[in-house]
Amino acid sequence: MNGLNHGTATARVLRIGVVYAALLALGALFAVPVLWMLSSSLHTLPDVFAQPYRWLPDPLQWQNYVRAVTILPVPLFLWNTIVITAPVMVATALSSALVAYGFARFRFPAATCCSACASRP
Amino acid sequence: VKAEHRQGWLFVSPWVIGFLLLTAGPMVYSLYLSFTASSLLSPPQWVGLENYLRIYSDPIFYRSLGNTAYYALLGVPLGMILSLGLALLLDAPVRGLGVFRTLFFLPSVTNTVALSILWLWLLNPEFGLLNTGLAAVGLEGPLWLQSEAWAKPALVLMSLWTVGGQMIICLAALQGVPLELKEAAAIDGAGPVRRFFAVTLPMISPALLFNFIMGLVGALQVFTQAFVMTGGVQPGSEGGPNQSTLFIVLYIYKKAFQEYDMGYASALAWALFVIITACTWLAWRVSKSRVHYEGGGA
Repeated sequence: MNGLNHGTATARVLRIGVVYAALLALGALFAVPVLWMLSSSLHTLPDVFAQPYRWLPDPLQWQNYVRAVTILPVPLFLWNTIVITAPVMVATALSSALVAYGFARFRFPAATCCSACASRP
Repeated sequence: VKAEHRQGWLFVSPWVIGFLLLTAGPMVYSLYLSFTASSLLSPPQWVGLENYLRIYSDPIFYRSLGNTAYYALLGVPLGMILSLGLALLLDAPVRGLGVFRTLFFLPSVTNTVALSILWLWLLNPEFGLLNTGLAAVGLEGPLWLQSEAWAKPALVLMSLWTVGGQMIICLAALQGVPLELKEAAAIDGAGPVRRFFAVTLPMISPALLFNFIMGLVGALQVFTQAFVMTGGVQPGSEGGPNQSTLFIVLYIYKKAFQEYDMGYASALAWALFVIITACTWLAWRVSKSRVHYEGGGA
């Protein structure tokens, strides 16, 4: 909701066109690195350096993905992450509710100061 | 009343215990270490203010301070302008809002190490997408991370790619500006530019101040990108070329975990803490009369 709904129909269309053009241009700038990462994941190493860069090489190196999860013990890494993350998630959810209740419902010395400290990012 | 105090403390005890053990305790210990010579191999030796005096006359500290200031002074304002610009575009009645919002936000939730590796490729002077793109329009790109002059701008450029979080905060603030205020201004004859500067900007100024302070605190503590992107080739060479990306936290890291000079590193960390606190306080004070809180608060 903003000033874009004012003015004549032509002016409105023109303004919204400018907005779309800017969004698409900036969107492309934000998307290109991600797309490049996707594209290069299907290249061989020499192909990545090829000039000019080919966005879709022939053939596509799908086995890069197989190598990525087999060259190192990736399932073990995933398991390690879960072992760290799962208890932290559960404990954070439980203790946050408890602590928030304590700060919200009880008035005690230093409560304001502590809750300010606790809420720092 | 006494029972309430006890119950209150009991409820917040998970946080109190965690804070004392994991935050306050180590902070106090690092404060103690900052007054000692400590190498992890032998017990800390009390040296009084010597570490702080060393900081005062350490040219590399001033170099890292200058690098950090450069990064913050260039990156924070650009980040604020870009995030506000993106939010203004997304605040317009456009289709595909969700798609654009996701696109702009995606890099912000990506792991910094992964981003750094990706940008290491993009910034490659010979094969990188950035210089290939510049060559396509007839420009010769700089050496980026291999150049003393362009290494910091390269890191700033990369930081602009992760303004998604700030953009979301700006967008939420923009959508919270009451429509009747803009209508009233329009009826009074204010054009779009005047409406933006006289109504929208003051109304979202608390969100901008929040973004500024969080951005500043984040920029002053920049570490991961510099560590990954300038040290990857040759461990120990982090902060290059010629110390042009040696930021304060990176310097602290090198002192602590490469040279095991824990006492000096702790003193540096406390110096940075004081600098960040002073900057935040200053930003808070200067902004006080310029930030508009609805309801006349603060």
